[in-house]
Amino acid sequence: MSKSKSYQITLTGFWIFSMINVASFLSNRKWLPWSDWINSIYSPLYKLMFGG
Amino acid sequence: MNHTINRWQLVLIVISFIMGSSLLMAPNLTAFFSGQDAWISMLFAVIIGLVLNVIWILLLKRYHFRSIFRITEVAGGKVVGTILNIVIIFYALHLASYVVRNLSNFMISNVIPESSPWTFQIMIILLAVYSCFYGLNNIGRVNEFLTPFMILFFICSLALTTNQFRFSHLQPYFEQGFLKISQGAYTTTGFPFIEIILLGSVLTYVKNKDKLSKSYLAGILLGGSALILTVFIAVGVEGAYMVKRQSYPTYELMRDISIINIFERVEVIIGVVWIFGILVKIVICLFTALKGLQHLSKSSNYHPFLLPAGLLIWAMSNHIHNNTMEFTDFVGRNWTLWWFTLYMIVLLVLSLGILRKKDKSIDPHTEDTFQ
Amino acid sequence: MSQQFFKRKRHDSSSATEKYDHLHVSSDLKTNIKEIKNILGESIDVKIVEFLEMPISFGICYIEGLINKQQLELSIIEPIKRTQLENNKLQPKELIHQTEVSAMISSCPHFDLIITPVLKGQIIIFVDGMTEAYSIPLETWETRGVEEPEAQTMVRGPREGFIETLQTNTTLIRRRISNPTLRFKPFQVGKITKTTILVSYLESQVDQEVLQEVIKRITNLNTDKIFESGMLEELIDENGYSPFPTFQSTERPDVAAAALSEGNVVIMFEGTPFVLITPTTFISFFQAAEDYYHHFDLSSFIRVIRVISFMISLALPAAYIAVTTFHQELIPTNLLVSLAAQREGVPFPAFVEALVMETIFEILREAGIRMPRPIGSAVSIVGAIVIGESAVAAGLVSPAIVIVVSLTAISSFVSPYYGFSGAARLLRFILMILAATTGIFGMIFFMIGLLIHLCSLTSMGRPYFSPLAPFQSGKQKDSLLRLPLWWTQTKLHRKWVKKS
Repeated sequence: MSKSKSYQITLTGFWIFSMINVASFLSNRKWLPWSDWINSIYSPLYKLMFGG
Repeated sequence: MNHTINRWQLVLIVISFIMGSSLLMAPNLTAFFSGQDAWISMLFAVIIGLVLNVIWILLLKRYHFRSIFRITEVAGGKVVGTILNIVIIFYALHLASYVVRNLSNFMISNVIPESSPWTFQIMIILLAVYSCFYGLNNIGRVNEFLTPFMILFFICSLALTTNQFRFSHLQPYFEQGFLKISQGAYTTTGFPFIEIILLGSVLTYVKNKDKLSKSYLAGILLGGSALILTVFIAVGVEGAYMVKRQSYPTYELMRDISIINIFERVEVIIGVVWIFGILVKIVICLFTALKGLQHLSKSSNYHPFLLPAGLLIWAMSNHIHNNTMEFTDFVGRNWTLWWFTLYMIVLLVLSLGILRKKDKSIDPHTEDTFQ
Repeated sequence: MSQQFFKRKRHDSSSATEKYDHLHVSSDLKTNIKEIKNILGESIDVKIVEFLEMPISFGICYIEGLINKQQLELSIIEPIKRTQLENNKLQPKELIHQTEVSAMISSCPHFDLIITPVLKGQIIIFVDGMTEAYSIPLETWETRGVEEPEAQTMVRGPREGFIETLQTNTTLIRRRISNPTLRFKPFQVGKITKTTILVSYLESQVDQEVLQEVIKRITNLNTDKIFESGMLEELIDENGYSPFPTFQSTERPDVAAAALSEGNVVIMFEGTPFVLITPTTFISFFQAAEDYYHHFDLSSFIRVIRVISFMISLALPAAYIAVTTFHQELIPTNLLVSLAAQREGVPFPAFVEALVMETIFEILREAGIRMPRPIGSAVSIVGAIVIGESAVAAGLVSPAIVIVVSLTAISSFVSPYYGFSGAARLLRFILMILAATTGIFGMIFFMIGLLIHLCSLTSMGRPYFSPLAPFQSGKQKDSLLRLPLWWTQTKLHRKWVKKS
């Protein structure tokens, strides 16, 4: 098994990212509210296209 | 881990991916806006989806169908490529969690209401992780075995409802006007037809790439036709009014099946068979994400990423939305634009790559460095 | 990483066996006799006869019961004596050659070549003044005759079955395939037992990759003892933790011969009538030899019945639990009313009922196999009357579950291969638990998981679930259905495909 630097960085980073998500879900807090962010970007566009 | 699949398996994977969760959602999403013209919306969606995918597959062909993660790096350079790869991985995991959530919503609201959504989420994620553990070849074979049965079930169940089909439910045609019809088409364009660009990570493992583009597009066309048929029959049997008000009209449709008073209320069996299509979609998303992570980490296998990816999908599927209404509303509004953004960015990077003659530098004959 | 972690533990028992390569035969007869007594010890069946009063003294060593004693007297001891007495000037070197005791004589310069043959039933001759001994094969021992196989019976077809002796078994196969390319390649496995096994194949048909793989696994085997083909199966199987057998075991020579002619490898054992066929596929466990002796339409029908009964034995109790607990709407109303009336007064939920009845059935089945034959009928009486009727009459279980369990039990006997129905027996309980917790969804979940598992299995590197997945349209002539023989007659059709 390769223990290269990129491997360690990716694995650690991915674990941290997924654990933040798990923690924010279990503690019922919106630390990473993906849906809200997406919504805030695209809602105006959608309104522009179809008028609400 | 063996990742090779053949063209026939690819066609079936594409069909399963498209039919997967859309089979349940499509009638409602289209009919919500375009009423009895829902099937016209669906038709438009299929046409737009096909056009988008023709462009997509032509671009990939210029890069000899190498893995999408490799192509972005070649076309956009190291930095742009890596950022884009992370974005694709996120999209894949995000989509997987939406499909998981969709499944648990469906199970809770219709099939086994007294159960906890976690049961279904954990079970389906376990299956997806188990399948990914063995590699793409495994899901190719499983899908090859089950999809024909799924299609048979699908055709039979639709055929059994046609005795209640009324053309008057579909008339008058084009009553809703172009805007409403295109609004109905808008939601279903993104839902299965742009999402399917994730298969860019799968195409490289097809054994014989001669007629790959045709097989891929044929799969999209077949899956799309099945969706048009579903919407057509759902609206024709239930009427636009009912379809608008049900979350899963296809499932409700199956309640109407009645043969000689013995085969009644078989919707549970049929509904449960669809789970398989949903599973294929999750597996492909998970596989794409894992392949991306493997590419980033330059590792020889992706097994270390299976556990965190499974946990992430589970957590995300639960906390993206509070309830089903919010979920459906969000998907209807933003989903297509959200995926179209990714499509445009990747398209842009790949086109610029071709303009800069980067596609010539990719070697068509060597296998991907990290199998 | 994971492979290393799960690598099965193997005993290191180099001390259990000694090598005698370094021990050379000396020219002094007495030294040799002493040496062999030292190695074989004071055993009642080890016979060492010395003829010291002869002009050229010689000694004979054999194991009683493994050789033909009469032949030893008449065609070995007597001629040697006679030659010596007739020709006084005979040199020790010429004694054995002049006597022409046997054409199959071979010389053994050191004790490693003496000990193994003598234990396998050859006789050893030591001649005074010679630095080598001679071994002559004279194996005969008590065997049972060729009888009808008991574990795999059929209506039409040959009545012969393999027996415990390799020689008879190879004859049974050779008589069916008179082909010059038929090979029986001997190997010895087990450091303590030194069991002889034969790898047999048709040189012209066999898939060389598979053959090399089989030979590699057998020669790399590091084990102390092997008594039955099942032990080897478990040791050289690549899917150790799977409940599904990836070797087909049979005691029918016609099945083995058919497998050989299709290019499979057959592994035969000394001491057991069961031979192993590899590589094999999932679907071949639904195919009996008899299918090819009956008309194709009947055979195809029976194969479908076997698949259905496999599904019943796997899933029927679970389906009963799921339907009665979660999905009552699936049952027609009249039936539902009668089911509910039956369950009136039954104290347990359907899951407990089914679990208890299934366990009781498994106990009865095991008792039926293990108990002495004369008592066998008692078990069936107890099983049928007490468990079946009285339990229902006492209101402990509902009549419906008795029907479900009996149907499941009967279905599990349909498979032509005993080991295969074991998978269904074990998985049935897991499926019942899932059905009791999440209904039909749990069952589908389990079935898909099972399918993923089956598609991941390989048998000697060949896909186990082929020709269903990967789908091979050419191989469908003889998979789930057996289409007419004249469709498939001329072409060689392997049941698996090349590695994909």
